[in-house]
Amino acid sequence: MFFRKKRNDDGLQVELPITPMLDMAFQLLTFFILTYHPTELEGQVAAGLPSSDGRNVGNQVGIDDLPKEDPKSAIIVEVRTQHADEAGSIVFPITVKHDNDTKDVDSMKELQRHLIQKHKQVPDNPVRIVGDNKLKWACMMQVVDVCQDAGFQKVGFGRQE
Amino acid sequence: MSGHNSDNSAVPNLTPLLDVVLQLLMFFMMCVNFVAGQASAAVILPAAETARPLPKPDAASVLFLNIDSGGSLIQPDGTVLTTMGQVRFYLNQEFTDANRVEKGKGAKILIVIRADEGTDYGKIYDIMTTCKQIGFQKIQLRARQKAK
Repeated sequence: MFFRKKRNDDGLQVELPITPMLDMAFQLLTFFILTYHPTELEGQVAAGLPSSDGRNVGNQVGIDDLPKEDPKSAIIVEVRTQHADEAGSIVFPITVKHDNDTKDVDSMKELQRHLIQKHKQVPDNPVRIVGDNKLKWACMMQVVDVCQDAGFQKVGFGRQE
Repeated sequence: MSGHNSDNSAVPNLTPLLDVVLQLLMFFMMCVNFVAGQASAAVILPAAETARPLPKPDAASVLFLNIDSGGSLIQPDGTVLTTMGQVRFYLNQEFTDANRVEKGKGAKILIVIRADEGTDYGKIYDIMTTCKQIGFQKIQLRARQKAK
């Protein structure tokens, strides 16, 4: 099939072949439809690596981009789970430690309120989340979420001994 | 272009069809993400409200670590590394290879952790600690973006 494009003044008919272009367009379309896998929107969460020896050492936060001379002490958030069941969900209370101040919180809302208060006092301090081995990653990410939502951008990890 | 001529032969109007086809083609071409090939479909990411949109990927300096619900590391070619010894060997090899290409490049590699929401934290922590011990310095966690 030819597509009649234009007839110029000399009566010469110019024809544009559409069929091969349409064939190619359909082939490409089929390829992209078949290889299309819609995935959920993925986002990034910034975090720091744990200390290289893997131990929970005092206030060491395990974030590399903190300057060495930074005297600020980390806020420690201790998250526990129940080893008896396989669910790996968070068992309250979650303990928040900072210098000599220790507070147990009984819900995620309370943790968020407490961390928002802390962020007003010490906005530049890092947070180190110390979790149980059996804690599920989704639960750990909830805590990371709350920390970042409270305003803390420097979040590192530790493990319960 | 008309649908009828004087010989009573039907000529289909291809212009709107072609428009639609080309628009669909453009949609699928824009949506295709070849970098997603490094992401394992076996991993269901946890949801996070604070997850931010991804920056423009720089595939040369990114190492994807897909961790399944059992804590095994899935390599881009599909090989599953189940023991920490295998994981350490793999990470060491990647770090050494990067340094061979350019001195100090290994430390600049961004480790992207795509861990399944059901993975035990202890296993992810072990892998992160191994990364640090080998010499990697930058890390990024991946999560599903969740509306607030």
